[in-house]
Amino acid sequence: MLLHLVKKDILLVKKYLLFMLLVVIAFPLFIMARNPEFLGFNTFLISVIFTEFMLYQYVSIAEMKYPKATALLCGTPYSRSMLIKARYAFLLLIFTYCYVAYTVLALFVPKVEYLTLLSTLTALLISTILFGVYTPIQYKLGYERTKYFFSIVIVATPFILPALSNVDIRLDFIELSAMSMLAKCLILIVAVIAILCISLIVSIKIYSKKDLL
Amino acid sequence: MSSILEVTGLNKSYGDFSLSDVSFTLEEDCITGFIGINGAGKTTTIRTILGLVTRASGTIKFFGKDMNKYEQELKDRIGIVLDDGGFYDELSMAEMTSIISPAYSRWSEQDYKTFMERFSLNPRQKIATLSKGMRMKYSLTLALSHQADLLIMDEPTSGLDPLIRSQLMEILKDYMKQGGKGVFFSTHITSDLDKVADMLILINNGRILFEEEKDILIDTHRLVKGDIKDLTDETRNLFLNIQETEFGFSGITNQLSKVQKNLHDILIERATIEDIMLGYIEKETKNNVITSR
Repeated sequence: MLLHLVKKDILLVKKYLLFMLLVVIAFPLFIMARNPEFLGFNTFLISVIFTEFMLYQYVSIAEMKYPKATALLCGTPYSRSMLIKARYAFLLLIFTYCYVAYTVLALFVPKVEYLTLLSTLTALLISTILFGVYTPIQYKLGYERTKYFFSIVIVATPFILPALSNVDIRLDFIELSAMSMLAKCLILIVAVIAILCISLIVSIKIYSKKDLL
Repeated sequence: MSSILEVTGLNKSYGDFSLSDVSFTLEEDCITGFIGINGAGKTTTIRTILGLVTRASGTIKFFGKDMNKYEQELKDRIGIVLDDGGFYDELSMAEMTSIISPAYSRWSEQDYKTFMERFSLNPRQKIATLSKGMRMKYSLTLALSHQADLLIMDEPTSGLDPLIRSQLMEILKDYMKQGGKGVFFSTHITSDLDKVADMLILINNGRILFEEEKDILIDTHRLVKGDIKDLTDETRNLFLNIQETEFGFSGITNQLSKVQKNLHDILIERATIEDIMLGYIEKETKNNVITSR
Protein backbone atom coordinates (compact mmCIF):
# COMPACT_ATOMS: atom_id res chain seq x y z
CA MET A 1 0.00 0.00 0.00
CA LEU A 2 2.82 2.39 0.94
CA LEU A 3 4.50 2.00 -2.45
CA HIS A 4 1.27 2.85 -4.27
CA LEU A 5 0.92 6.04 -2.29
CA VAL A 6 4.53 6.95 -3.04
CA LYS A 7 3.66 6.26 -6.67
CA LYS A 8 0.75 8.67 -6.26
CA ASP A 9 3.16 11.46 -5.27
CA ILE A 10 5.39 10.60 -8.24
CA LEU A 11 2.40 10.71 -10.61
CA LEU A 12 1.40 14.11 -9.23
CA VAL A 13 4.82 15.56 -10.09
CA LYS A 14 5.35 13.65 -13.33
CA LYS A 15 5.26 16.86 -15.40
CA TYR A 16 8.29 18.22 -13.57
CA LEU A 17 10.00 14.96 -12.70
CA LEU A 18 12.29 14.64 -15.72
CA PHE A 19 13.40 18.25 -15.37
CA MET A 20 14.16 17.81 -11.68
CA LEU A 21 16.02 14.55 -12.29
CA LEU A 22 18.18 16.34 -14.83
CA VAL A 23 18.77 19.28 -12.49
CA VAL A 24 20.29 16.90 -9.93
CA ILE A 25 22.86 15.84 -12.55
CA ALA A 26 23.34 19.26 -14.11
CA PHE A 27 23.86 21.17 -10.86
CA PRO A 28 27.22 19.56 -9.88
CA LEU A 29 28.43 19.99 -13.48
CA PHE A 30 27.50 23.67 -13.35
CA ILE A 31 29.29 24.10 -10.03
CA MET A 32 32.31 22.24 -11.46
CA ALA A 33 32.49 24.72 -14.32
CA ARG A 34 31.91 27.87 -12.26
CA ASN A 35 33.14 27.21 -8.74
CA PRO A 36 34.94 23.83 -8.48
CA GLU A 37 36.08 24.28 -4.87
CA PHE A 38 32.38 24.23 -3.88
CA LEU A 39 31.99 20.67 -5.22
CA GLY A 40 31.40 17.84 -2.79
CA PHE A 41 29.26 18.03 0.34
CA ASN A 42 27.94 21.57 -0.22
CA THR A 43 26.89 20.90 -3.80
CA PHE A 44 25.28 17.63 -2.87
CA LEU A 45 23.40 19.19 0.06
CA ILE A 46 22.05 22.04 -2.06
CA SER A 47 20.92 19.69 -4.81
CA VAL A 48 19.20 17.46 -2.22
CA ILE A 49 17.39 20.33 -0.50
CA PHE A 50 16.45 22.01 -3.77
CA THR A 51 15.13 18.81 -5.38
CA GLU A 52 13.22 17.69 -2.30
CA PHE A 53 11.80 21.16 -1.85
CA MET A 54 10.67 21.58 -5.46
CA LEU A 55 9.07 18.14 -5.75
CA TYR A 56 7.46 18.49 -2.31
CA GLN A 57 6.01 21.83 -3.35
CA TYR A 58 4.59 20.38 -6.58
CA VAL A 59 2.90 17.57 -4.63
CA SER A 60 1.55 20.05 -2.08
CA ILE A 61 0.17 22.32 -4.81
CA ALA A 62 -1.60 19.36 -6.47
CA GLU A 63 -3.10 18.30 -3.15
CA MET A 64 -4.21 21.84 -2.38
CA LYS A 65 -5.79 22.06 -5.83
CA TYR A 66 -7.71 18.80 -5.43
CA PRO A 67 -8.57 18.46 -1.73
CA LYS A 68 -11.41 16.06 -2.48
CA ALA A 69 -8.93 13.59 -3.95
CA THR A 70 -7.25 13.31 -0.55
CA ALA A 71 -10.70 12.84 0.99
CA LEU A 72 -11.41 10.07 -1.53
CA LEU A 73 -8.14 8.31 -0.64
CA CYS A 74 -8.99 8.52 3.05
CA GLY A 75 -12.42 7.07 2.26
CA THR A 76 -10.70 3.95 0.89
CA PRO A 77 -8.89 1.45 3.14
CA TYR A 78 -5.74 3.59 2.95
CA SER A 79 -5.21 4.92 6.45
CA ARG A 80 -4.27 8.50 7.11
CA SER A 81 -1.03 7.39 8.75
CA MET A 82 -0.15 5.46 5.58
CA LEU A 83 -0.57 8.66 3.54
CA ILE A 84 1.85 10.44 5.85
CA LYS A 85 4.37 7.60 5.83
CA ALA A 86 4.27 7.64 2.04
CA ARG A 87 5.16 11.35 2.02
CA TYR A 88 8.26 10.70 4.15
CA ALA A 89 9.14 7.70 1.97
CA PHE A 90 8.81 9.96 -1.08
CA LEU A 91 11.34 12.39 0.40
CA LEU A 92 13.75 9.57 1.25
CA LEU A 93 13.39 8.28 -2.29
CA ILE A 94 14.38 11.68 -3.67
CA PHE A 95 17.42 11.72 -1.37
CA THR A 96 18.37 8.25 -2.58
CA TYR A 97 18.09 9.37 -6.20
CA CYS A 98 20.25 12.44 -5.51
CA TYR A 99 22.91 10.24 -3.88
CA VAL A 100 22.88 7.70 -6.73
CA ALA A 101 22.99 10.46 -9.37
CA TYR A 102 25.92 12.18 -7.64
CA THR A 103 27.81 8.90 -7.27
CA VAL A 104 27.25 7.98 -10.92
CA LEU A 105 28.49 11.43 -11.85
CA ALA A 106 31.60 10.90 -9.72
CA LEU A 107 32.16 7.64 -11.55
CA PHE A 108 32.27 9.33 -14.94
CA VAL A 109 33.53 12.84 -14.18
CA PRO A 110 36.99 12.77 -12.56
CA LYS A 111 36.67 16.26 -11.05
CA VAL A 112 33.56 15.23 -9.10
CA GLU A 113 34.70 13.36 -6.03
CA TYR A 114 32.82 10.52 -4.41
CA LEU A 115 30.81 11.46 -1.34
CA THR A 116 32.08 10.01 1.91
CA LEU A 117 29.69 8.10 4.11
CA LEU A 118 29.99 10.85 6.73
CA SER A 119 29.10 13.66 4.34
CA THR A 120 26.22 11.64 2.88
CA LEU A 121 24.81 11.02 6.35
CA THR A 122 25.36 14.65 7.32
CA ALA A 123 23.43 15.80 4.24
CA LEU A 124 20.70 13.29 5.13
CA LEU A 125 20.57 14.63 8.68
CA ILE A 126 20.31 18.26 7.57
CA SER A 127 17.58 17.53 5.03
CA THR A 128 15.78 15.36 7.61
CA ILE A 129 15.86 18.23 10.12
CA LEU A 130 14.51 20.70 7.55
CA PHE A 131 11.71 18.49 6.22
CA GLY A 132 11.13 16.93 9.62
CA VAL A 133 10.26 20.37 10.96
CA TYR A 134 8.47 21.58 7.84
CA THR A 135 6.21 18.57 7.23
CA PRO A 136 4.23 18.63 10.51
CA ILE A 137 3.93 22.42 10.23
CA GLN A 138 2.53 22.06 6.72
CA TYR A 139 0.04 19.42 7.84
CA LYS A 140 -1.03 21.76 10.63
CA LEU A 141 -1.19 25.07 8.77
CA GLY A 142 -1.65 23.97 5.15
CA TYR A 143 0.40 24.70 2.07
CA GLU A 144 -0.71 28.31 1.59
CA ARG A 145 0.56 29.46 4.96
CA THR A 146 3.85 27.57 4.83
CA LYS A 147 4.93 27.96 1.22
CA TYR A 148 7.45 30.72 1.98
CA PHE A 149 9.33 28.60 4.55
CA PHE A 150 11.51 26.90 1.98
CA SER A 151 11.78 29.93 -0.26
CA ILE A 152 13.55 31.57 2.67
CA VAL A 153 15.70 28.48 3.23
CA ILE A 154 16.73 28.32 -0.44
CA VAL A 155 17.58 32.02 -0.58
CA ALA A 156 19.49 31.83 2.69
CA THR A 157 21.42 28.62 1.87
CA PRO A 158 24.37 30.27 0.05
CA PHE A 159 24.92 32.54 3.06
CA ILE A 160 24.32 29.93 5.74
CA LEU A 161 26.36 27.11 4.24
CA PRO A 162 29.84 28.69 4.64
CA ALA A 163 28.98 29.47 8.25
CA LEU A 164 27.69 25.95 8.78
CA SER A 165 30.88 24.49 7.29
CA ASN A 166 32.96 26.39 9.85
CA VAL A 167 30.77 25.09 12.66
CA ASP A 168 31.17 21.57 11.34
CA ILE A 169 34.93 21.83 11.23
CA ARG A 170 35.14 23.22 14.75
CA LEU A 171 32.85 20.50 16.07
CA ASP A 172 34.80 17.90 14.18
CA PHE A 173 38.10 18.93 15.67
CA ILE A 174 37.10 19.85 19.15
CA GLU A 175 34.36 17.44 20.08
CA LEU A 176 34.19 14.66 17.56
CA SER A 177 37.80 14.09 16.60
CA ALA A 178 38.31 11.52 19.28
CA MET A 179 35.45 9.45 17.95
CA SER A 180 35.95 6.76 15.38
CA MET A 181 34.32 7.11 11.95
CA LEU A 182 31.96 4.30 12.83
CA ALA A 183 30.81 6.08 16.00
CA LYS A 184 30.23 9.32 14.08
CA CYS A 185 28.22 7.52 11.44
CA LEU A 186 26.21 5.68 14.07
CA ILE A 187 25.40 8.96 15.84
CA LEU A 188 24.23 10.46 12.56
CA ILE A 189 22.11 7.41 11.70
CA VAL A 190 20.50 7.41 15.16
CA ALA A 191 19.84 11.16 14.89
CA VAL A 192 18.22 10.75 11.44
CA ILE A 193 16.03 7.89 12.64
CA ALA A 194 15.05 9.76 15.82
CA ILE A 195 14.13 12.96 13.96
CA LEU A 196 12.23 11.01 11.30
CA CYS A 197 10.26 9.08 13.91
CA ILE A 198 9.41 12.15 16.00
CA SER A 199 8.40 14.14 12.92
CA LEU A 200 6.36 11.22 11.57
CA ILE A 201 4.51 10.73 14.86
CA VAL A 202 3.75 14.46 15.17
CA SER A 203 2.54 14.62 11.53
CA ILE A 204 0.31 11.56 11.99
CA LYS A 205 -1.19 13.05 15.17
CA ILE A 206 -1.89 16.36 13.45
CA TYR A 207 -3.34 14.76 10.34
CA SER A 208 -5.54 12.30 12.24
CA LYS A 209 -7.48 15.26 13.67
CA LYS A 210 -7.72 17.16 10.38
CA ASP A 211 -11.14 17.58 8.77
CA LEU A 212 -10.95 16.66 5.09
CA LEU A 213 -13.41 18.85 3.24
CA MET B 1 -32.98 -7.96 7.43
CA SER B 2 -29.80 -7.03 9.27
CA SER B 3 -28.54 -3.50 9.58
CA ILE B 4 -25.70 -2.38 7.36
CA LEU B 5 -25.08 0.96 9.03
CA GLU B 6 -26.06 2.23 12.46
CA VAL B 7 -25.37 5.84 13.32
CA THR B 8 -26.08 6.85 16.91
CA GLY B 9 -25.90 10.28 18.56
CA LEU B 10 -23.60 11.86 16.00
CA ASN B 11 -22.54 15.39 16.89
CA LYS B 12 -20.24 17.71 15.00
CA SER B 13 -19.88 21.49 14.98
CA TYR B 14 -18.48 23.78 12.28
CA GLY B 15 -18.71 27.43 13.16
CA ASP B 16 -22.42 28.26 12.87
CA PHE B 17 -23.44 24.81 11.64
CA SER B 18 -23.78 21.66 13.69
CA LEU B 19 -24.95 18.09 13.34
CA SER B 20 -27.15 17.50 16.36
CA ASP B 21 -27.64 14.02 17.70
CA VAL B 22 -27.92 12.43 14.26
CA SER B 23 -29.11 8.82 14.51
CA PHE B 24 -30.41 6.45 11.85
CA THR B 25 -30.11 2.89 10.61
CA LEU B 26 -29.70 1.47 7.11
CA GLU B 27 -31.07 -1.98 6.44
CA GLU B 28 -29.66 -4.59 4.10
CA ASP B 29 -31.27 -4.80 0.64
CA CYS B 30 -32.48 -1.21 0.84
CA ILE B 31 -31.70 1.87 -1.19
CA THR B 32 -31.88 4.73 1.28
CA GLY B 33 -32.28 8.26 0.06
CA PHE B 34 -30.70 10.89 2.27
CA ILE B 35 -32.59 14.05 1.44
CA GLY B 36 -32.43 17.67 2.45
CA ILE B 37 -31.91 21.10 0.99
CA ASN B 38 -28.42 22.48 0.27
CA GLY B 39 -26.55 23.10 3.51
CA ALA B 40 -28.80 20.77 5.53
CA GLY B 41 -25.88 18.58 6.62
CA LYS B 42 -25.96 15.70 4.13
CA THR B 43 -22.32 15.96 3.03
CA THR B 44 -21.10 16.59 6.58
CA THR B 45 -22.97 13.52 7.80
CA ILE B 46 -21.52 11.35 5.04
CA ARG B 47 -18.01 12.64 5.63
CA THR B 48 -18.33 12.11 9.35
CA ILE B 49 -19.58 8.56 8.81
CA LEU B 50 -16.58 7.86 6.58
CA GLY B 51 -14.18 9.34 9.12
CA LEU B 52 -13.16 12.16 6.79
CA VAL B 53 -14.12 14.71 9.42
CA THR B 54 -13.78 14.16 13.14
CA ARG B 55 -16.87 13.88 15.28
CA ALA B 56 -17.47 15.37 18.71
CA SER B 57 -19.46 12.33 19.80
CA GLY B 58 -21.47 9.42 18.51
CA THR B 59 -20.94 5.86 17.33
CA ILE B 60 -20.85 4.50 13.79
CA LYS B 61 -21.23 0.81 13.08
CA PHE B 62 -21.00 -0.78 9.67
CA PHE B 63 -22.16 -4.40 9.41
CA GLY B 64 -22.37 -4.48 13.22
CA LYS B 65 -18.71 -3.48 13.68
CA ASP B 66 -17.47 -0.26 15.25
CA MET B 67 -15.88 2.08 12.72
CA ASN B 68 -13.29 3.22 15.28
CA LYS B 69 -11.94 -0.29 15.75
CA TYR B 70 -12.30 -1.80 12.29
CA GLU B 71 -11.92 1.22 10.01
CA GLN B 72 -9.73 -0.38 7.33
CA GLU B 73 -11.66 -3.64 7.24
CA LEU B 74 -14.97 -1.80 6.95
CA LYS B 75 -13.80 0.65 4.31
CA ASP B 76 -12.76 -2.34 2.24
CA ARG B 77 -16.47 -3.22 2.03
CA ILE B 78 -17.71 0.27 1.16
CA GLY B 79 -17.81 1.86 -2.26
CA ILE B 80 -17.82 5.65 -2.19
CA VAL B 81 -18.88 8.21 -4.75
CA LEU B 82 -18.06 11.73 -3.66
CA ASP B 83 -19.67 14.84 -5.06
CA ASP B 84 -17.67 15.70 -8.21
CA GLY B 85 -15.65 12.48 -7.95
CA GLY B 86 -12.71 13.62 -5.88
CA PHE B 87 -9.91 12.94 -8.34
CA TYR B 88 -6.57 14.42 -9.28
CA ASP B 89 -7.72 15.95 -12.54
CA GLU B 90 -4.26 15.98 -14.08
CA LEU B 91 -4.04 12.19 -14.01
CA SER B 92 -5.56 9.80 -16.50
CA MET B 93 -8.25 7.39 -15.34
CA ALA B 94 -5.74 4.51 -15.58
CA GLU B 95 -3.30 6.37 -13.32
CA MET B 96 -6.00 7.25 -10.81
CA THR B 97 -7.16 3.64 -10.80
CA SER B 98 -3.59 2.45 -10.21
CA ILE B 99 -3.60 4.51 -6.99
CA ILE B 100 -7.07 3.53 -5.77
CA SER B 101 -7.27 -0.16 -6.71
CA PRO B 102 -4.41 -1.50 -4.50
CA ALA B 103 -6.27 -0.21 -1.45
CA TYR B 104 -9.02 -2.81 -1.87
CA SER B 105 -8.42 -6.47 -1.06
CA ARG B 106 -11.29 -7.61 -3.31
CA TRP B 107 -10.53 -5.42 -6.31
CA SER B 108 -11.71 -7.08 -9.51
CA GLU B 109 -9.89 -6.04 -12.67
CA GLN B 110 -12.54 -7.89 -14.66
CA ASP B 111 -15.39 -5.87 -13.10
CA TYR B 112 -13.41 -2.69 -13.63
CA LYS B 113 -12.89 -3.39 -17.33
CA THR B 114 -16.53 -4.39 -17.76
CA PHE B 115 -17.78 -1.11 -16.25
CA MET B 116 -15.26 0.99 -18.19
CA GLU B 117 -16.48 -0.62 -21.42
CA ARG B 118 -20.14 -0.36 -20.43
CA PHE B 119 -19.70 3.37 -19.76
CA SER B 120 -17.50 3.85 -22.86
CA LEU B 121 -14.68 5.27 -20.77
CA ASN B 122 -11.16 5.31 -22.18
CA PRO B 123 -8.69 4.59 -19.33
CA ARG B 124 -6.04 6.72 -20.99
CA GLN B 125 -8.25 9.82 -21.04
CA LYS B 126 -7.25 12.60 -18.67
CA ILE B 127 -9.77 13.12 -15.85
CA ALA B 128 -9.79 16.89 -16.41
CA THR B 129 -11.30 16.33 -19.86
CA LEU B 130 -14.24 14.25 -18.59
CA SER B 131 -17.76 15.67 -18.57
CA LYS B 132 -19.65 15.71 -15.28
CA GLY B 133 -21.61 12.63 -16.35
CA MET B 134 -18.45 10.75 -17.30
CA ARG B 135 -16.80 11.66 -13.99
CA MET B 136 -19.76 10.22 -12.15
CA LYS B 137 -19.61 7.06 -14.25
CA TYR B 138 -15.90 6.69 -13.56
CA SER B 139 -16.49 7.29 -9.88
CA LEU B 140 -19.17 4.62 -9.91
CA THR B 141 -16.83 2.25 -11.75
CA LEU B 142 -14.27 2.56 -8.96
CA ALA B 143 -16.95 2.10 -6.31
CA LEU B 144 -18.41 -1.00 -7.98
CA SER B 145 -15.16 -2.78 -8.88
CA HIS B 146 -14.23 -4.14 -5.47
CA GLN B 147 -17.35 -6.10 -4.55
CA ALA B 148 -18.53 -3.48 -2.09
CA ASP B 149 -21.40 -4.42 0.20
CA LEU B 150 -22.50 -0.82 0.69
CA LEU B 151 -22.43 2.11 -1.69
CA ILE B 152 -22.28 5.56 -0.15
CA MET B 153 -22.88 8.33 -2.64
CA ASP B 154 -22.83 12.04 -1.99
CA GLU B 155 -25.04 13.94 -4.44
CA PRO B 156 -24.18 11.66 -7.39
CA THR B 157 -26.93 13.09 -9.60
CA SER B 158 -26.20 16.76 -8.98
CA GLY B 159 -25.67 18.57 -12.28
CA LEU B 160 -26.41 15.51 -14.44
CA ASP B 161 -28.87 15.38 -17.29
CA PRO B 162 -32.02 13.23 -16.92
CA LEU B 163 -30.69 10.46 -19.20
CA ILE B 164 -27.54 9.88 -17.17
CA ARG B 165 -29.54 10.13 -13.92
CA SER B 166 -31.89 7.47 -15.22
CA GLN B 167 -28.90 5.25 -16.21
CA LEU B 168 -27.52 5.64 -12.71
CA MET B 169 -30.83 4.51 -11.20
CA GLU B 170 -30.74 1.40 -13.40
CA ILE B 171 -27.19 0.62 -12.28
CA LEU B 172 -28.25 0.91 -8.65
CA LYS B 173 -31.16 -1.45 -9.25
CA ASP B 174 -28.79 -3.97 -10.92
CA TYR B 175 -26.39 -3.65 -8.00
CA MET B 176 -29.16 -4.37 -5.50
CA LYS B 177 -30.20 -7.51 -7.39
CA GLN B 178 -27.05 -9.24 -6.08
CA GLY B 179 -28.66 -9.37 -2.64
CA GLY B 180 -27.21 -8.49 0.76
CA LYS B 181 -26.18 -5.04 -0.43
CA GLY B 182 -27.17 -1.51 0.51
CA VAL B 183 -27.07 1.98 -1.00
CA PHE B 184 -26.98 5.25 0.89
CA PHE B 185 -27.54 8.08 -1.49
CA SER B 186 -27.73 11.78 -0.64
CA THR B 187 -29.55 14.12 -2.96
CA HIS B 188 -31.65 17.23 -3.12
CA ILE B 189 -33.19 16.04 -6.42
CA THR B 190 -35.96 13.98 -4.87
CA SER B 191 -37.48 12.89 -8.19
CA ASP B 192 -34.58 10.42 -8.56
CA LEU B 193 -35.71 8.67 -5.42
CA ASP B 194 -39.30 8.16 -6.60
CA LYS B 195 -38.02 5.37 -8.84
CA VAL B 196 -35.52 3.55 -6.65
CA ALA B 197 -35.57 4.41 -2.96
CA ASP B 198 -36.93 2.04 -0.33
CA MET B 199 -36.21 4.25 2.67
CA LEU B 200 -35.95 7.99 3.09
CA ILE B 201 -34.12 10.00 5.71
CA LEU B 202 -34.67 13.75 5.86
CA ILE B 203 -32.09 16.03 7.41
CA ASN B 204 -32.48 19.74 8.01
CA ASN B 205 -30.25 22.14 9.96
CA GLY B 206 -28.15 19.16 11.05
CA ARG B 207 -31.13 17.29 12.57
CA ILE B 208 -32.90 14.19 11.31
CA LEU B 209 -36.55 15.08 10.78
CA PHE B 210 -37.72 11.64 9.74
CA GLU B 211 -36.57 8.17 8.78
CA GLU B 212 -39.33 6.27 7.03
CA GLU B 213 -40.15 3.79 4.30
CA LYS B 214 -40.81 5.68 1.10
CA ASP B 215 -44.10 3.91 0.33
CA ILE B 216 -45.46 4.45 3.85
CA LEU B 217 -44.43 8.09 3.70
CA ILE B 218 -46.20 8.66 0.41
CA ASP B 219 -49.28 6.71 1.58
CA THR B 220 -49.61 8.66 4.82
CA HIS B 221 -49.20 12.14 3.37
CA ARG B 222 -51.50 14.05 1.07
CA LEU B 223 -51.49 17.38 -0.70
CA VAL B 224 -54.74 19.15 0.13
CA LYS B 225 -56.11 22.13 -1.74
CA GLY B 226 -59.06 24.25 -0.67
CA ASP B 227 -60.51 27.66 0.10
CA ILE B 228 -58.63 29.91 2.53
CA LYS B 229 -61.91 30.92 4.18
CA ASP B 230 -62.29 27.38 5.53
CA LEU B 231 -58.97 27.52 7.40
CA THR B 232 -59.03 28.10 11.14
CA ASP B 233 -56.22 28.03 13.71
CA GLU B 234 -57.26 24.51 14.59
CA THR B 235 -57.32 23.23 10.99
CA ARG B 236 -54.04 24.94 10.15
CA ASN B 237 -52.38 22.75 12.78
CA LEU B 238 -53.37 19.66 10.80
CA PHE B 239 -50.92 20.66 8.07
CA LEU B 240 -47.15 20.50 7.94
CA ASN B 241 -47.10 23.60 5.76
CA ILE B 242 -49.66 25.75 4.02
CA GLN B 243 -49.17 27.91 0.97
CA GLU B 244 -51.79 30.54 0.44
CA THR B 245 -52.61 32.43 -2.73
CA GLU B 246 -55.58 34.60 -3.66
CA PHE B 247 -57.15 31.50 -5.26
CA GLY B 248 -56.90 29.27 -2.23
CA PHE B 249 -54.48 27.22 -0.17
CA SER B 250 -52.48 24.03 -0.62
CA GLY B 251 -50.85 22.15 2.20
CA ILE B 252 -49.29 18.83 3.13
CA THR B 253 -50.92 16.79 5.84
CA ASN B 254 -50.29 13.48 7.55
CA GLN B 255 -53.69 13.64 9.28
CA LEU B 256 -55.98 13.20 6.32
CA SER B 257 -58.98 11.79 8.18
CA LYS B 258 -59.05 14.79 10.55
CA VAL B 259 -58.66 17.19 7.63
CA GLN B 260 -61.57 15.52 5.85
CA LYS B 261 -63.71 15.82 9.01
CA ASN B 262 -62.99 19.52 9.49
CA LEU B 263 -62.69 20.75 5.94
CA HIS B 264 -65.21 19.91 3.27
CA ASP B 265 -65.00 21.10 -0.28
CA ILE B 266 -61.30 20.18 -0.63
CA LEU B 267 -59.19 18.58 -3.34
CA ILE B 268 -56.89 15.75 -2.26
CA GLU B 269 -53.83 14.80 -4.30
CA ARG B 270 -50.96 12.39 -3.87
CA ALA B 271 -47.92 14.18 -2.43
CA THR B 272 -44.48 13.84 -4.00
CA ILE B 273 -41.34 13.26 -1.95
CA GLU B 274 -40.41 16.86 -2.60
CA ASP B 275 -43.78 18.11 -1.29
CA ILE B 276 -43.35 16.05 1.88
CA MET B 277 -39.73 17.14 2.32
CA LEU B 278 -40.62 20.81 1.99
CA GLY B 279 -43.60 20.31 4.30
CA TYR B 280 -41.41 19.02 7.12
CA ILE B 281 -38.72 21.64 6.54
CA GLU B 282 -41.23 24.49 6.62
CA LYS B 283 -42.88 23.04 9.71
CA GLU B 284 -39.54 22.90 11.48
CA THR B 285 -38.64 26.42 10.37
CA LYS B 286 -42.01 27.66 11.71
CA ASN B 287 -41.47 25.84 15.02
CA ASN B 288 -37.95 27.27 15.34
CA VAL B 289 -39.27 30.81 14.81
CA ILE B 290 -41.95 30.28 17.49
CA THR B 291 -39.40 28.78 19.92
CA SER B 292 -36.92 31.60 19.40
CA ARG B 293 -39.62 34.14 20.24
